[in-house]
Amino acid sequence: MFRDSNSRPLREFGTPERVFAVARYLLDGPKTRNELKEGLSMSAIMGHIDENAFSYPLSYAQDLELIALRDGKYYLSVPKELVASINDFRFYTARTALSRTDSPFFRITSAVLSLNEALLLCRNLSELAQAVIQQGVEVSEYNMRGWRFWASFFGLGYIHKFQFVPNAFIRIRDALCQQQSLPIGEMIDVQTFFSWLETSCPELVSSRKDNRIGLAVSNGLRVLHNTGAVTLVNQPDAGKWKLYQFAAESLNDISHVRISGGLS
Amino acid sequence: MWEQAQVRLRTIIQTDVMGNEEWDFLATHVPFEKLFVTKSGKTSAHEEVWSEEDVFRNLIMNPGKEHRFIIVRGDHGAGKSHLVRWLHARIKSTGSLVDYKVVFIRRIENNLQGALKQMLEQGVISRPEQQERIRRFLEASQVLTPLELKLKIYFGFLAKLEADQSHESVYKEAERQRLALLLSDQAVKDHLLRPGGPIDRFYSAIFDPRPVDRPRAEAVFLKEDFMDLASIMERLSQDHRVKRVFAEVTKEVGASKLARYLNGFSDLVIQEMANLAQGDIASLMKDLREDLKRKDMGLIVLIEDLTTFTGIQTELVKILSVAHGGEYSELCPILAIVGLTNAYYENYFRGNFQDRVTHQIVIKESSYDEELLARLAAKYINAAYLTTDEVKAWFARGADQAELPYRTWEPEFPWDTIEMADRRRFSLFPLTRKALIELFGRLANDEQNPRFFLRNVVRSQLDSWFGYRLGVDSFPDCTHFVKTKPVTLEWAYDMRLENSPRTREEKQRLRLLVGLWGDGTLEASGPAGKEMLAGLPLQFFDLLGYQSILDLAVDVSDKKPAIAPVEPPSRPTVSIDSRTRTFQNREAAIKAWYHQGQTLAFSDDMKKLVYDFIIDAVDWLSQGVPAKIVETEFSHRGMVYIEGQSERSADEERTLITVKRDKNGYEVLMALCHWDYHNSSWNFDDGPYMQYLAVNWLESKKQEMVDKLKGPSHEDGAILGWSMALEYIRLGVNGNLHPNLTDVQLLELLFKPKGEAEDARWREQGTLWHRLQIRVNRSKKSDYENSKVLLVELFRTKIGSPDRASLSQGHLYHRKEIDDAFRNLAAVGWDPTTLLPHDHRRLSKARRVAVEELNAVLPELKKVLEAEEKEFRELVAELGARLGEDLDEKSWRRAITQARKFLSDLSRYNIYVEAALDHSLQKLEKKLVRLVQLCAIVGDLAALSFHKRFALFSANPNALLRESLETIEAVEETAADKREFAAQQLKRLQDQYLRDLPAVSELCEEAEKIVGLIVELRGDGCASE
Repeated sequence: MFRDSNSRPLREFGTPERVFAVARYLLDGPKTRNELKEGLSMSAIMGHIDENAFSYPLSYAQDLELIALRDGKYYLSVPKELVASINDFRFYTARTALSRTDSPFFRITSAVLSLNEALLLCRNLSELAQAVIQQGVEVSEYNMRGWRFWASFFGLGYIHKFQFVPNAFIRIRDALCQQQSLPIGEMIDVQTFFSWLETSCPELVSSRKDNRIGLAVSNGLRVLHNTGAVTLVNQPDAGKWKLYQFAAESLNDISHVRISGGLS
Repeated sequence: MWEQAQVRLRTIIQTDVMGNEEWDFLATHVPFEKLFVTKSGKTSAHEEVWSEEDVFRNLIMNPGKEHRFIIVRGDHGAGKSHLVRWLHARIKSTGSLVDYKVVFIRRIENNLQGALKQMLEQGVISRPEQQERIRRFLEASQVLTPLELKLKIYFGFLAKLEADQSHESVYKEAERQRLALLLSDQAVKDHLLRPGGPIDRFYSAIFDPRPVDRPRAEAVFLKEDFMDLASIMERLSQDHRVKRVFAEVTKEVGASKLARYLNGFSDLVIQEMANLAQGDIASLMKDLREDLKRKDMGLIVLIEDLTTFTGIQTELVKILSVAHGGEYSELCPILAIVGLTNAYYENYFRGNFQDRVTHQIVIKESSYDEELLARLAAKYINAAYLTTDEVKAWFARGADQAELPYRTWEPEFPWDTIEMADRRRFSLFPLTRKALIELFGRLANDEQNPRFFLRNVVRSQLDSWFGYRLGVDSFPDCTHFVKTKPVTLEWAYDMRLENSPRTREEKQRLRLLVGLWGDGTLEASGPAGKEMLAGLPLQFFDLLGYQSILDLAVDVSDKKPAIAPVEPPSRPTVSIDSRTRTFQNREAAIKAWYHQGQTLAFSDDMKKLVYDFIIDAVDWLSQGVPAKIVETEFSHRGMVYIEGQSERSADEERTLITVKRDKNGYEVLMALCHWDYHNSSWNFDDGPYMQYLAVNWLESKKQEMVDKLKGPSHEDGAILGWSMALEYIRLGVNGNLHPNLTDVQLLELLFKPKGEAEDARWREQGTLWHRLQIRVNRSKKSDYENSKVLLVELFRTKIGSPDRASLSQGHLYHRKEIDDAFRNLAAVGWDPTTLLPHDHRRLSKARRVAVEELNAVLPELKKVLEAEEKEFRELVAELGARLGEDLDEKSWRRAITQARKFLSDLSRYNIYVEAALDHSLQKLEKKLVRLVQLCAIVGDLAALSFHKRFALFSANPNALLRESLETIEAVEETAADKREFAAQQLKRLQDQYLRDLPAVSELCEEAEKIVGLIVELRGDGCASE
């Protein structure tokens, strides 16, 4: 799902946590499939593992190029630092998964975010799947069950009961933490900022309509502003982009963004 | 100007709005246009709507000098006194009523003293003796203390009760004596005299000056006064007669009866207090009327409030309502105008009393409509700007309303005005018509009348306006409405205001201005230079000092259309109305919690909503918090604390998260309240905004929650290590470790789901080790079990929200973390002492349990191991002493072989030995290698790691050594026994031999003799054969 349509489909068995566990186990050295399976499932003690619970995470770890198979053994194919912590793991996997614009995961994500407020009409994952299908992306409810874990893990939104609450706060914050191209503490005009943002997080492009910023990005930026990670500025006589409009907020247009220091 | 206006305002609208001067009264008077007049005393009689001028013209102007007894009635504060006072002023201003003596009894002190004082001053009391008595009464409150006066009232009732001879059918004499005894009891007396008690009420009605805005409690005994006595029962006298009557009067029926009975003496007691004899009032009024008759004059009596004549109302009404003529031809005509409340009229004007009433003028709610309220406000506003000299001069000129100077300060921008009766328009600034109506509507139900309107709306707002102009106050005044009926705008506007960088007080004031003065929106309108916000001129906000007010304005063109039709919430079991009502109540409760600082009602429901949101929305994995930790340490809604909760079920310190009474806290509660109402969905008009608010709050709190869940160490591996160490100890104490255990086997043992019943190998009772087993398997069993669950579950991956996580899709572990924790423990020889946190008190309970137990059990375990080692060394030394110091295989084998041979030899000589001994030796032979190993270890014991030593003693080696020693000792004992036995036998034989030896000599001698005889008989050769 993270690679192309021929790769293993999206299902809930392969959660980010499990993929992280697979990759971390290989920090101690290469292992055969059987060693991996027995070790991760502790089958000698806990009994045999459901095959899906092992094979899906294994496949996703391969899709994300965290691990590779060579000479009958799996080994970690990324520097150890990338799986040193869950944050490092998220940075890497989000970057990898969401850079493949042809992958099923990317297409679904992009379709979901482009729904904007219509996303809130979907009371459950089945309805969300239908909405995504209407966007021209073939997907099932089962796929969406798997998608939500990764989408919320990557920081594109929050799970609340059966709904997906779009808000890219964490995703944008992660991108800001890793970026080196934008200056810190300086006013960046909104076009430049979005040019960088949508290059770093291409899945966010679809939610924007011209200079109207989509719901997930808009709300994400508002939270970033409130937490002090960025300052959204509406400078008179400057080119403006529109946040998702809230009558209750006085800041609805932005001309510049200032990134604060201390993001990590 | 502003200072003077403020002083004037406070003069013209005092707490008692009727207490001001005549000129001010007329300068602020607004005519009643809707008075409901009936020409009868019956409440059901036909009503006509008259103006106050109609009343004056048709009822007061009385050319035929007809008898009139007119009641002016209405609820508290409706304006009865105002109307009576206006009628009085109107009577004085007209020239056609000069042949009347006018007596006007105002409600100045609002008590009997005040009423009688006015009667005295106005020449109603003519007899010197009566005047003297009343003067003494008026001086009474200066001569006597309140307590003395109250005691006089109390003893007055007691005396009436004891002396009563005329109510035998109510209470027989014996009963009255018992009642008198009860009422004389010190505790009962204190109770009746207490503040707010019945005697205090009588005292208050007679002597206590009181503002009119606080309706006086009626001067009567109530049944509750006696039913309440139950609360002082334990302080009651032990006299059985008192107790008997006490039981009766504290029941409802008995209490009502006694109250009714004592109330029958009220008028008499009060009159005695006032030095009035029975019939005094009637006689003094009669004297007056006769005197006036002689002068061919009539009498007009105006009484603002009849209840000021407590104790003499009945007598007064009777004499005022006596028509002249006929048998009363010596009396002058009388026109009485008496104010009283609706409640009083309904309760005391019954039957023939109503028949005495000739007219009723009723002031109803509809008497003071919006127009009247606006005119009233405009008049008072203008009067505040008038100087006293100006108004006095106007009064002196005849107080013509059309000539009243208009001095209201007006702004330069257009503002609401109201047309007065004389067609002039008066400005309402700084109030608007809408503000007046809204503010009136926000008064408490029993305060929605002119008196409270003037005091709590006009005076308070105008006062703050003057204060603002003087630089000492802000406008508008929120104090009367912030707590009782807070103003909130439509959600989006309300939040826009809430989000603006203004102080809380400023926001409150702007809410009032926008919501009550203006149209409730934050929409801007109007051309440049004449811009409006909320329908109010921008200059108004500028004038009031609100900076950058246009920042609040909503660009109407940018308003987002509704995202979808809001689906009507529906649940099969609950009606929509009920759900909506619940939602509205919750919303109101949240607003009251935030804006008024009240305790949050429905806090349990809100905690559940917040809890569910947090547990779902936080990606715990991303935060590095294992689902098991969340499940254990954030397990229920009680972990959410809402600031200002009344219940303290959970210590705020120990809860995971506090919803603060701040803007973010308010927003998240409102958002989740709306989400819940809309069928657990964000699909509603403000859904996109509210879900942003919810996330915004979550992100502001997330790190705090995560830090608490992670604990001070921030190392999940450490938690796993502690649980692993505790399980290791449990295994070892239960005898499941041994020196040859491999790491794989140990890991298997640690994670294997085995309980105590399966794996405990109990040691001998009374031993230190057994005591340790009791601790592990009994007294601290649940700690070990919980720790084991944490160990197994902590790094097991889960799917979904922690509270609904599914384990059905297989078990997959964070094996790396498990192995790391295992390795860390192995690296310290499985003695986790160095891995424990220095200050475990900061840890959560779930984590603290393992650490606390480790801290407790480790020293104990180490002591036990020391004792085991000591015994081990002693046993080996003993064995060495018996078997030779080497204790190698050779010496063991030799010893066992020799012992067995010895037993075998004994057996061969048919000497009995217990078979068990040989069996024991056989067992030793089988455990020879282990025994040799154990004995060889003794030299290295000191160098063994904790793990090696624990594993060694977990397998209970001392038992084998002890058994070996005992076996060897048994063999030795057997040998010793058998040797002793054999020695005894031998000795016995020897002794026998020695005993038998003399006989042998004799025998020998005898034999020798025989041999000699034989030789003698047969020769030497035969004898030697």
